[in-house]
Amino acid sequence: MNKTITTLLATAALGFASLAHAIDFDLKDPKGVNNIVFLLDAPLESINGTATGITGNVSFDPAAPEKTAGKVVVAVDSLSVANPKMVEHMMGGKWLDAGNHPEIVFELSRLSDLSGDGKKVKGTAHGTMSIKGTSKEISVPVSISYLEGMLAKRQRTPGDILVIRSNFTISRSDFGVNAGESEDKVADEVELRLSIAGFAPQDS
Amino acid sequence: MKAIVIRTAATGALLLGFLLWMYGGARAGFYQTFYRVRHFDEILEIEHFEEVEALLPGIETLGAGVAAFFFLSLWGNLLERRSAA
Repeated sequence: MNKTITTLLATAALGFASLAHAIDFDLKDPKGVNNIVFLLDAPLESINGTATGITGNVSFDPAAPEKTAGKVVVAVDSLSVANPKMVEHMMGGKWLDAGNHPEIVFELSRLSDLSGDGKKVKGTAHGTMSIKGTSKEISVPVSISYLEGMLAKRQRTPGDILVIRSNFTISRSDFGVNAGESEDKVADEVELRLSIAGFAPQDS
Repeated sequence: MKAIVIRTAATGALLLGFLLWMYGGARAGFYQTFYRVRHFDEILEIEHFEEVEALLPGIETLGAGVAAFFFLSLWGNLLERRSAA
């Protein structure tokens, strides 16, 4: 009995020890630098825009980057292109339906195929992308830079910064975004370029 | 006399449409209400964008200029034929 309890306690202690090293990074950037660029190249029209309403959090352990997990949330109404009519269409029910589905979410569950040291890591991020009520498992290339102690240099607050970059392509038809329609003007393939930083102040 | 004025207006409309389209960047797309200026955060090494408000005419402005040119030219020709007859 005592042996079992000791084993359980040891396992729990090991679990907590590994959790203790993971740093929680908040993706909300007070300076508004975080952005996702989206590009659609259809035969008749090329569309490019940005999304800046990025929130969420990522838990990163420099000693065990494969355990990186978190959630990236993008406010649909923060997607912007320079033509206001196009924005109106994009937010409408046929396309992203911002009224009923105000967020695009990527739930990061783990990293694999990692290379690099604890400061700069490249690999494949696995997780679930949810757009307009449709969720799909995806794996995308990612690079992560852990900038230890650099928050003081940027925001005069002691802490760390995590920079996440990823370029990948999704199909709007996979997520029921006006699937099969208007592909001559709005490409099915959407190229996404993520440049996101997370912040972990030491006092939090 | 009136026909000459209308034909001159036709050429003016074409020229105006063309110049406005050039001012908007001579793009194949429709009008835009802002343009983006790139910035670079040196600590994060992230490129980000500032949206600067500006009305930039698109291809529809050139199209309107061409349409106005044809309409006014046709009108000018009709007036000239009537006055000759």
